[in-house]
Amino acid sequence: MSQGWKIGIEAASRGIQARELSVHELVTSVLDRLQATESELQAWAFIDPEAALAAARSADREIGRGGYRGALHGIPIGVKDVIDTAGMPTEAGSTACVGRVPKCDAATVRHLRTAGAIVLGKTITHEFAYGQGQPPTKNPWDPARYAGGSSVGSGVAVAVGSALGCLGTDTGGSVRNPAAINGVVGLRPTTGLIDCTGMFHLSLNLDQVGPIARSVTDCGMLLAGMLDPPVWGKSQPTVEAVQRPLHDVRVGVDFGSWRACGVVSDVYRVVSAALEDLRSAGAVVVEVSCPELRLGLPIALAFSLMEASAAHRDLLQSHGDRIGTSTRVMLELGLLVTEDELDLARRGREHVRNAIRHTFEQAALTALMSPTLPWTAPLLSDLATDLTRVSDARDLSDAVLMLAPANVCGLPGLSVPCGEALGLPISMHLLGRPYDDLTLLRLAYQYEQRTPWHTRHPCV
Amino acid sequence: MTAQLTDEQVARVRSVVGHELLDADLAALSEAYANYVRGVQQLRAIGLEAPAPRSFEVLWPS
Repeated sequence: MSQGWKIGIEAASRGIQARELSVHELVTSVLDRLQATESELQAWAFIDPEAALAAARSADREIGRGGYRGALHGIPIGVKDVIDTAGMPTEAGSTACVGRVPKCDAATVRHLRTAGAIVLGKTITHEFAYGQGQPPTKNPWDPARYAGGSSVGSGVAVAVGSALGCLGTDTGGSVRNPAAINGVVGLRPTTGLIDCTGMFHLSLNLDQVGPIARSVTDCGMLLAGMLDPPVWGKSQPTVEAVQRPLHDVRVGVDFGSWRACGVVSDVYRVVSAALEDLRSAGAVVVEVSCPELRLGLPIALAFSLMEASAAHRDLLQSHGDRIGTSTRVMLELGLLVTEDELDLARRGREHVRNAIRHTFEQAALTALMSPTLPWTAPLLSDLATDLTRVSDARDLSDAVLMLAPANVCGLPGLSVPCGEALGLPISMHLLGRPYDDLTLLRLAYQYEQRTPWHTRHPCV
Repeated sequence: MTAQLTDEQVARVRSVVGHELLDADLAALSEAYANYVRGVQQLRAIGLEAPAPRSFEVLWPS
C-alpha cells in the first residue's frame, strides 16, 4: 500500500504540484488506510470511494492540462456530518434525520471543492453536535477511552490518516476537544470569518465551522480553502504566511483559571513545559488574572440550550421519539430557559468580553495560553456526559471550561499538541484577538518547529 | 441535586413534545434543570443585573 496517507497536506500538495504524486495515488492510499482502520475505529458515517476516485482521476486530468488550482487541489478531506454536502447524506448523527440528503453544499464545502479538495465522505458526530451520549467512534490511542467530541470522527480520521484534513464544528470546543484528544491541530476561527451557511446549527451565537489537520501549516491551508477570499484579503493563511517568523510575542497565562478548571498534574506539568518552550523560543510569558474566563461555561450553556431548542423544535415535535434520550432532555431543557436568563447571559458575555479585552490590552498579549483540556482522555467507564453540570463533579462539562470563552466572545482558539502522559496526547490552547487567527497559527507554527508532538501518531 | 419543576414548566415542555413526559424523562429533566440553574446563579452572583459598563476605547484588531 502506498504511504501517501502518512504525509500531511503540505507535503502532498507539494508533490501534486510538482507532478511527483498523482491525486489518484494519494486518494487510493487514503482510502486504503480508511478501509484498514474503519472497522476498528468507526470514524465515518458515510463514504463514497467511487466518487472520490472519479474526482481524483478528474483532478489528475485537469492538472495534466495545466489547470492546477492551488494548494488544496486533489487533497482528500472529510466533512463532519452536520455540514451539508450536496448528494451525500447529512444526518447529524441522529436517527431523526436518516435519509436527509442536501441538494447544496455548505458554503465552506463549496469553497473547498472550488479549491480542488476532494470530499471522501462524512465523519461521525455526536447527535446534533450536542456532545451527549456516546457515538461508536473509538479513540485510536486507547479504545477504552473517550475519543473526543462532538467532531469525533473528524479528529480520529485525521489522527489515523483516513483523511488528510477534516471539517468540524465548534459550539463549545467541539473542534478543539477532539483535536486535543486525538493529538492533532484544531482551530475555532473568529466568529464571522467563516461563512457557516449550510451547517446544521446548534447555537447561532456560538457555532463555527473549523479545520482539523495534522500540523499547524496543514490547518492554515485548510482554513485558507474554507474562506471566501475577499474576507481575508492579503492576510490569507497560506503556507508562507503561517511559516513567517513572528516577533515580539507575549503569551499570557492565568494559572488561577487552570486551577479553577481542575487541571490534573500531568497536564499541568506538560503544558507548563510547553510554556517554557515558548519562552525559550523568544516569547515573553506574562502571568495575568482573568477570573471571568470561568463564566464562559454557564453563558454558553444558556445560549446553546435556548438556541438548540429553537433550531430543533420541529424535529422535537415530529420525531422526538427518534432523538437520543440525553439529547432530547437537553432540547427540552432549552424550552425552560427564560428571556430574563438569556438577557443575563448576554450581559455576562459583555462582562467576559470586556475582561478578556482589557487583559489582552493591559498585558499587550499576542495570545492567552492554557491547556486545551484539563485532563487526558478519560476511560469511557468513568465518563459522565451530562453537559448541564456546571461545577464540582469531573465530567464532560470540564472539557468546555477552557474553550467556551472563545465561543462566547467570538474569538479564535487553536489547539496544538504539546506532549503526552501515559501514552495519551496533551494539547495547549491559544486564545487570540478577533480576526487574528493567522497570528495564532504563526505562533503555533514556531512552537511546532521546536517540538516533535505533531509527528506522533497512534499505532493503529 | 434535583429541582422540582413547576407545573407551568412541565406544561411548557409538554406543549412542544405533544405528550405527557415519562417519569424517567421528568427526573432527568429536573436534574439537568437544577444543574443549569446553578450556572444561572453563578452569573447572578457577580451582579450582572445592572447593565455592564461598555468600553469603546480599544478597537480590535489593532
